Amino acid sequence: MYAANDYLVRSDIKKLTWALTLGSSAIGHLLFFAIIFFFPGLGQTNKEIPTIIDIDLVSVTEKEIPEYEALDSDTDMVDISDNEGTSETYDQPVSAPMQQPKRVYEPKKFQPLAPIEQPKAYKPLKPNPELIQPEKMIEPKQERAHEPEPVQRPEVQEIKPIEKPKKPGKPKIKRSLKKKTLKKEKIAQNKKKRQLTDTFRQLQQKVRIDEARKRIRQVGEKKSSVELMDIYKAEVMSQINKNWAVSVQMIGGYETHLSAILVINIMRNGYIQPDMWFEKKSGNDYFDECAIKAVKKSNPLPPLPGAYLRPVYGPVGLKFTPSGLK
Amino acid sequence: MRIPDLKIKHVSSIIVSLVLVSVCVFSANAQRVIDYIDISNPFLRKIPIAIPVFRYTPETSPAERIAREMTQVLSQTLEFTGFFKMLNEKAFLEDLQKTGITGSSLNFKNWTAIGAELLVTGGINVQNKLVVVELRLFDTFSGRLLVGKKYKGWHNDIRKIVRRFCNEVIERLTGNKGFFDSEIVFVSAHTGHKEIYTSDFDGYNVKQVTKNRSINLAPSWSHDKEWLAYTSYARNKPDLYIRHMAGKKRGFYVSFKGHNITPAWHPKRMEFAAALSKPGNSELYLLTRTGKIIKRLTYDWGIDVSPSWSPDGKKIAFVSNRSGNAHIYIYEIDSGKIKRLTYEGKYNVSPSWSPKGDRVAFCGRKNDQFDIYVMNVDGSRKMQLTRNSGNNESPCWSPDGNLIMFCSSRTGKSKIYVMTAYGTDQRQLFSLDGEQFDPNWSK
Repeated sequence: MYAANDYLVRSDIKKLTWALTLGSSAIGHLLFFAIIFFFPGLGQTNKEIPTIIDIDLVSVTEKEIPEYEALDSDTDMVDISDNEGTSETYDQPVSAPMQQPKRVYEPKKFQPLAPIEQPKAYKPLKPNPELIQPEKMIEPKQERAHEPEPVQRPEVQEIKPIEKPKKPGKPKIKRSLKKKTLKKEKIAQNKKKRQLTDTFRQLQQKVRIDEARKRIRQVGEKKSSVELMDIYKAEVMSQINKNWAVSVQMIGGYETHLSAILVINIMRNGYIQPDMWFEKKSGNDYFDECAIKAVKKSNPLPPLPGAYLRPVYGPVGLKFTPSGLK
Repeated sequence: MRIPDLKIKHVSSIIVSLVLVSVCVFSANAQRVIDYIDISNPFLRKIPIAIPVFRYTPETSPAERIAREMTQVLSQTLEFTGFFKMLNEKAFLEDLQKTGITGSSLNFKNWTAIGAELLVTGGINVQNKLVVVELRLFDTFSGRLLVGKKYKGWHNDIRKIVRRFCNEVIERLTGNKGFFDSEIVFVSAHTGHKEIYTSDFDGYNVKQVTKNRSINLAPSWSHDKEWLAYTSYARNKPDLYIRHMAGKKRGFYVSFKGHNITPAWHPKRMEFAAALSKPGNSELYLLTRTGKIIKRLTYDWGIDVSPSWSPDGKKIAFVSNRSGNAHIYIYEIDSGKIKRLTYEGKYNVSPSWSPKGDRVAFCGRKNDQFDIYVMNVDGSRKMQLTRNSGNNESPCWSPDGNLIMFCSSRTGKSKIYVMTAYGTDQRQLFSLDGEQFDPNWSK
């Protein structure tokens, strides 16, 4: 009793309250900082994870190619050989949505312009255009691949003035020349084989693309950076897929269940930081090696969207599974 | 007095440190949460490889011709495996004639830039009657030398040299031996008679084996490639003939009462299984190389034919109509147990056990069309490899188990075709007149 009274009455009270206020304010501060600290991370992951599903958005952005091209030429002309490596980088349009998000989604006007980039590149494919025509309707990718007709060039020229005001961009001649050769080859080789099998997938893609467009239209100008990152991720996916070559025989056939996760960091200009590592190896050395080669060939990836504020995007886990082979 | 004071200090410091720790842990976790991107659809299902025209010395046009021919043979030989996608020569940024062929003189960036993951460089020195050839296989990304070999031979040894190098390449990449020294045997009717012929694995170098102007069928290689067993009507009834390929040793024939057909050599011993109708209906027997019966394998009222050995020589897949329709069964040599593999359809024949031992290819009939199927040795994971392309029959495996050879009537007459074990890359092996069928691939 005595002790208790004594304790309550004396100046000890001050000490107690002082300690309590100090402690609580410290806790408050720390909590505040803690929230700030991991709020962005949580916010991002929460929003981004579900959107991974919308991978096939790639094709939506393809329409923006003209815009992107201008941008691209501004940003990474640096490494020509690397650019060649990336060969079919249709996907590079990404950067356009980042800086001028609104324009990205006015693409309907530009739809016919898609082939601007490589009209000549596909000339050798001419013999088959009739076969492919039905697909034109289905998938923008194919559309470009098989629309070699020089007829469209006049259109191209008309459009250029539209682009220019957006981006003064230097024309990057070297790059497109080299692209041509690679594309020619790969496309010619795979086209016939995959036409039939891909048709179904393309239909599915189209449906998804339409849904994505609808959604984007609804959201309209409110489009957040999360959506931009979705598109960016789709671009990355598309670019790496296109550079990914894996021998079916070497991985034990079409029904293989191999899967590897390669973690990379992407810098603002799209270059991949050299230190990549496997979060999970597949157990098949050849398969792992193919994954690394695909990433190296895809370097640089499209630049990060302007709305993305951090200097580096990552770590990003690239989940390699050959499920698309089936 | 002091005690509570201390407690407060302790408590507050503990709280503070707990909060700090939790913040650290959470923030660490927050950073660890990473985005994932699914990469699931490889654009190319083969290994892109670049084979530029070999560097030739002296720089004369005959030397260039030989270098070009050799480059082409190498491309075709590697492409045959189905592993590689040959990159178009026109896309190449480097010319070996100018750069050189060793790792130090090559700029690998120029090869990765066009998408090549592998690069073969060759240098050929053409002498009076000899050629000296250096061949190298590089990984373009690491610049590593994977295979490097030097060969010397006569001018007409080019194909041999290339095949030897291809064997090295495949062994280096897959760990399994290449099949570039293997041969095939088949029946062709282009002379008007069904005679037996052999050729290299790629259809090159066709040679006639039988010349009896009769009907010869179902040829089979012994495991050492020295002997050939086949069915022939040379004596006006189906008998088995065992023939020494080099022709240096005496042949044998098996002519029991009734038919003696579908021989299949044991994968390790000089014995073979065949179907004899000696007991009244067709049953499987095991015979010696000289045609003596070792033992009877099957006892059943139905017809048993077309044996095919498992690679370990312990089991035989065969066709039987014991259930009423032709189906595929497996017979265990030691226990004598028999297990049925196919249940679908009414006609499944020509089983062929894969060299890896895990799959069986066979010919099945569906809607009056014959197609090639493969399944696991327990009958599961059945996969149809051919469809909508005439009748496809008589599958047999390449020695490495990556290819399947078969005959198909997709262009009218039956011709011999090759495809990968997954049914892709189907192509005709060679163009001879008349019909070809019953292919069999040597070890």
